[in-house]
Amino acid sequence: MKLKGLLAAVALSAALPTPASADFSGNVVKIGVLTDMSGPFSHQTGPGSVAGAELAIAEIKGKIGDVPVELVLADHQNKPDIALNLARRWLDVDGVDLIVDLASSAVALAVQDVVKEKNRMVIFSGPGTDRLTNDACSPNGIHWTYDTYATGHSMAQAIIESGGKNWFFIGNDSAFGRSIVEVMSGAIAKASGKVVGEVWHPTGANDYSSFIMQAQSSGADVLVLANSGTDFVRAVKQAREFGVDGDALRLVGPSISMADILALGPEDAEGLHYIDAFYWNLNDKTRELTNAFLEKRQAIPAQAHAGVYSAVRSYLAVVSELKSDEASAVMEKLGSTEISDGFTPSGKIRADGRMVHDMYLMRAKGPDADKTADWDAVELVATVPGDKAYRPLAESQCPLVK
Amino acid sequence: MASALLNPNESRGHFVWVFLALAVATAILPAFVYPLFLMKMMCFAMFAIGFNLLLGYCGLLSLGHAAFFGAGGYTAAFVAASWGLSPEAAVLFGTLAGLILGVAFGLLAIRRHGIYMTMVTLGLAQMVYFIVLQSPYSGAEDGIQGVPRGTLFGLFDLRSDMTLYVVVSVVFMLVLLGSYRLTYSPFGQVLRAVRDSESRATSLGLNVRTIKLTVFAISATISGLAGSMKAIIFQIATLVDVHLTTSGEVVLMTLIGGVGTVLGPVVGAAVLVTSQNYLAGFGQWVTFIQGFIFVVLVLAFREGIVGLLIRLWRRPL
Repeated sequence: MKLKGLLAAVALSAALPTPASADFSGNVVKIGVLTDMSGPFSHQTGPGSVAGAELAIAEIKGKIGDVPVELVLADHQNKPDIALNLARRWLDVDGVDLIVDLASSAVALAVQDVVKEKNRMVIFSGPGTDRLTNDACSPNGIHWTYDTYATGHSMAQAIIESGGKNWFFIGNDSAFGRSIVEVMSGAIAKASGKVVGEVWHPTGANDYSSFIMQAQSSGADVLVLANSGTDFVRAVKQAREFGVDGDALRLVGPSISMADILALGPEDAEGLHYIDAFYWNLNDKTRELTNAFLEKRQAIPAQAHAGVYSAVRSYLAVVSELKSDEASAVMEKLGSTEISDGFTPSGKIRADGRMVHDMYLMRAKGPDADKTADWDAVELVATVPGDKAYRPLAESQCPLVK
Repeated sequence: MASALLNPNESRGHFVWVFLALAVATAILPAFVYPLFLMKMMCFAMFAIGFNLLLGYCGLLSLGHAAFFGAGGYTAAFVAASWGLSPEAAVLFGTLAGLILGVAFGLLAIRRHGIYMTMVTLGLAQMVYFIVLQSPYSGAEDGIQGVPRGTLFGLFDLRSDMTLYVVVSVVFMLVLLGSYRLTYSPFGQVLRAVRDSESRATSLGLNVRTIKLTVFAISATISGLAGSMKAIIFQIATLVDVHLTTSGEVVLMTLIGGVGTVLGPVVGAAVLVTSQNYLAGFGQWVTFIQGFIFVVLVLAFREGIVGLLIRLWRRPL
């Protein structure tokens, strides 16, 4: 009888939730990956971002002390209204503490407002728009991996330094394409280069021949393709057919990723320059992350994937140090922490929410270059230091830094 | 299809109970289901009700209804965000935008019949999409973000989800009752006459063109209202609202629920919005599952869910 009572008491105490020793909402740290699992951004973000978050959580064995770290996942199908609905439900009902990735800019801007209203946290890895830390900045949001300012600005500077003077733009006729061209034109003017022409094409255009011929006859020595994904791949293939090759007219893509280089193949991609936030072969830590990722996904991490890993890892480190997941405390602590992991050797979060770290100017290898694997398709040309890559705070319209 | 459609001579006493049940359900549901999700459902239900008036009762298939929905949404969002007007004014402007666009589309579209009319609506809607994409006021792919919900009539603070929910429910019930009233009015009978045989309607002395234009305008107005409510609820207007896929979705909602039935659009909207939301956790399988469900539904009961109920229950719904 006595034993039975004792057993019952033990069983009961095991069934009861462990008393919260610290300040964790819902006695769990919940991280939501809100991303594009099937649409046009799914290879740059999507399942890879989920894997990145899982790697970071696995590093601490899924627990902070006794408090479990939980991962939830949703596909916003690139519709901002679905994303908002999901995000609100996560924050209101499911008690999600941190939302990561977001994938597309329109979705990111929409979620930024809700997270601020509910005082939780959001870390953007996939989206590019620099408005997230400019006029739409928030005390609850961090932009981790890259932005259109950094890629456009760094690329313009790096190419001008290596002798590019006259620029021609073929841009996607959208807010994204126009913002890249605007940023790059600004940087080109500052470095006394010249824009000799710009043409615009709709998203999903098939025929770039007339644009390419205009570029060839414009006297430009740099041809910028300010578009992304399949549009970019198509435009490059057509440019190669029209003999755009070598240094007479250099092809650059400010907003592409290594996935596009792989999609093009080494023959067409050779010599393409682009800006990346993550280089797998930078140091031991990046190689370690790449290997872990390869094992999990049989693919190399793209910048947004590595960014999600780094963001979740840094978040969890700060949460476990503070023993709290209260948003403003975590934001403040993150702001005074130096980020150093498999994503970047040295990063810092500014008051406007921008995670400032080095960016890399990459070049696609040709078919004859040395390779360790199929995905080893690019090489590092130059490192753009973080303080040169991102928009200086003095030029920022963010109300938080005024 | 005919079995799913209305016969005005059938008894309709049970509709009182149906609407009462629906009203009770709207009152109770937010305790169990996330209110924002319910509001979204009601917005799309209103949109589908507007669409159903045109397709179900007048037999006109429009593939451009996203234009009215989106025009309503963008106008309301712009009026609330840039001019800082109250939500009721924003919704009024949005609804008016739907009406004006509806009359403009209608004047051109009803000059042709069948697939030609459908293609005219599709073409016009694509033009509206392009204008929204290029206009400096619409924020291109980012849309109009951060629309303030504001205070209704200066009294009710809509930032509270529950207050907003009550407002949206009232508007939704009014639209549903209005569509029911219209369906069984003499005008509704005229619509069915035009649907069943246009030449017979003409020979009876009905002005078919005016009737078509009127129902087109009413349909567009309701769509504009639905779009502007959505902009206020979600505080955003985006390209998705004016995109071709939204035009397609409203057709699907109406087909799944039951064309030419009073409750069909509501049920269809509920099914589609639910599948979009609750399947989101399945990641890349969402589109596959959705497609599968549609094929099964359309193959198994062509008259739609409500149409099936009507056949089983032998009463109009």
